[in-house]
Amino acid sequence: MAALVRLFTASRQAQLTGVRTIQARCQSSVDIDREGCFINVNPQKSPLAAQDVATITEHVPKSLFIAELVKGMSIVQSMMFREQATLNYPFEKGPLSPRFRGEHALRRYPSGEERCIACKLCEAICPAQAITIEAETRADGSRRTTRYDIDMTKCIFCGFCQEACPVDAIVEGPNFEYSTETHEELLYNKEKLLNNGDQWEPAISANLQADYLYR
Amino acid sequence: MNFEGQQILWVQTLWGVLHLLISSVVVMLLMMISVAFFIVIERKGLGMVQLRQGPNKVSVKGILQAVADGVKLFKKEVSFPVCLSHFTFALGPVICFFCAYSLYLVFPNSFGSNRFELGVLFFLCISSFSVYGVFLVGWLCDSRYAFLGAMRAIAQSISYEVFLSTVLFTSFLFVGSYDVFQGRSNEFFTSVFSLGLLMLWFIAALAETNRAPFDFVEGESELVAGYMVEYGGGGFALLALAEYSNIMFMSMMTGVMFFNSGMSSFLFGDIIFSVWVVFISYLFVLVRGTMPRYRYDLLMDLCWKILLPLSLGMFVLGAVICC
Repeated sequence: MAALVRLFTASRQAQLTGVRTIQARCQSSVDIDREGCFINVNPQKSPLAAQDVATITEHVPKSLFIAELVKGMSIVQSMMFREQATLNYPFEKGPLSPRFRGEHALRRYPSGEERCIACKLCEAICPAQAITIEAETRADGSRRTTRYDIDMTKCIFCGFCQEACPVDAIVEGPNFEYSTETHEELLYNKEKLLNNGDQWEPAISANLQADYLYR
Repeated sequence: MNFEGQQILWVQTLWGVLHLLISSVVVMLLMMISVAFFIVIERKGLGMVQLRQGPNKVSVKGILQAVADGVKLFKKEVSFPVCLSHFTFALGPVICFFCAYSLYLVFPNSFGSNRFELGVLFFLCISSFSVYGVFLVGWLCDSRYAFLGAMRAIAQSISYEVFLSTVLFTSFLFVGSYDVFQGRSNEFFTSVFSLGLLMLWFIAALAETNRAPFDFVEGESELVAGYMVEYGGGGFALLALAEYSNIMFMSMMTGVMFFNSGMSSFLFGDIIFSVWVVFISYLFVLVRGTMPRYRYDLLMDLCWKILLPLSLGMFVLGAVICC
C-alpha cells in the first residue's frame, strides 16, 4: 500500500513538473522553443485504442457509414417516384400571367379599323428607341400611321409602349416563340404587327380583360 | 479407328465448333443490345432521380434512344490526328471493345455449349488485358488530359484488380471450382459471410469499371472527358459500349457469385439469373445518382490500406470455413 502511495505521488509530481516545463516553454519568445507546447484540450478519442469491445463494435458500423449510405440511396430511390420538375417543353408549357410581355402586336377595333392614332407616345417613351413611326392624315381626316416599325432586337420588353398607348393599340401579347434565323426577320413592320394582332386577338383581349382593374 | 468413324468424329468436332461459334456470337450480339438498353436505363434513371424527364422522344417513352444514339454516332465524321495512321488510331477502341465482349465467352446460360473449366481465370486475364486498351487509347489521343485520364484509369484498375480478385477467389472457394457455370448454382448466398463479401465485391466492381463514386477518369473539373477525348463518332461509340459492357459483366459476375439461380431448372433459372443481373446493374445507376465523387488519394488509401487487408482476412476466414 505504501509503495502504491509513493508511486502515485511520484507520478503526480512528474505530471506537475511536465506542465510547468510546458508553461515555461510557451512563455519563451523563441519560435523553436514553442514547438510542442500546445495542450490538446479536446483530444480525439480513438475508439480502436479502447480496450472495451463494446466501444469498438459500436464504432465500426458507424465509421462504415452503412446506415447513411442506405438512407441516401433510399432518398434517391424515392426521388424516382416523385413528380418531375421539368416540362416536356414543346408539348407542355408552363402557365403565363396575363401581364406576360411577349411579342408585340397592333390591335384593331371590331370594325376592322386599326386602333393606332399615331400619337407617337410609344415612340417617345421607348427607352431602347426601338419604335419608328411616320404618320399622315388620311382623306377622311383621320390621323393614321404610314410606317410603324419595331426593331425586336433592340426592344427590352419593358412594356412601356403598351402602358403609354391611350387606345390600347400596341400591346405585348403572350407569344414568346418567334425565334428566327436572321436578324432581318426580327425587324417588324406595321404589316407584321397588325398580322400578329389579328392572330393573337382572342388571347390579348382575354389578358386585357383579366388585368383591367390594375390598369 | 476406321474411316467412317473418323468421319463421324470430324463431323462432331465441326458441329461442336460451329455450335460454340454460333452460341458465342448470339450471346455477344444479345449483350450488345442489352448494353444499349442499359445505357437508356441509366439516362432515364438518372433523369428521374434528378426530377428531369430523361430521354422521352424516340419511340414510346424514349426506349429506342440507344438505337438513335448509335446511328447518330456511327454516322458522324471520324476525325483523325494529323501525324498518325488511321489504322493505329482505330486500334485503341477496337481492342477495348474486343476485350469487353470476349468476356462473354464465359456467359453462363443454359443454351450455350461454351463451358470454360477456368472461366474465372479467363475473366481475370481479360480484364487485366483490357488495361492495355485503355492505355493505348490514352496514348493515341496525344493530349495530356487524355493521358492523365488513362494513367488514372490504369492505376485504379490495377490497384483494384488485386482486391477484386481476392474477393472473387474468396467467393469461389465456396464453389470449389473456377467454372462460372457451377458458380451459378452455389449455396453460398445464404450466409452472413457472403453479405459482407457482397459489399466488398460491389465496391471493387464500382472501382474496376471506373464508375461513380470512383469515376476519376472523367473528373470533368480537371480532365475533359477521360482518356477518350480525341475519339468521336464510331470510336467513342465502341469505347462507351465497352465501358457499359464491363458494367453488365460485373453485374453478371455478381449474379453468379452471390445469388443462386440454379442451372438445373433450365429456362426458369436463366430468367431468375437475368433478373439479378438487371437488378445489380440498376444498383450501379442508383449509386451513380447518389454518391459524390471520392478523392483520388483516398481511393488508393481505401484500396491498399483498408479493403485489401480486409478482403485478405475474408479470404483466410473463408478458407477456414470451407475446410
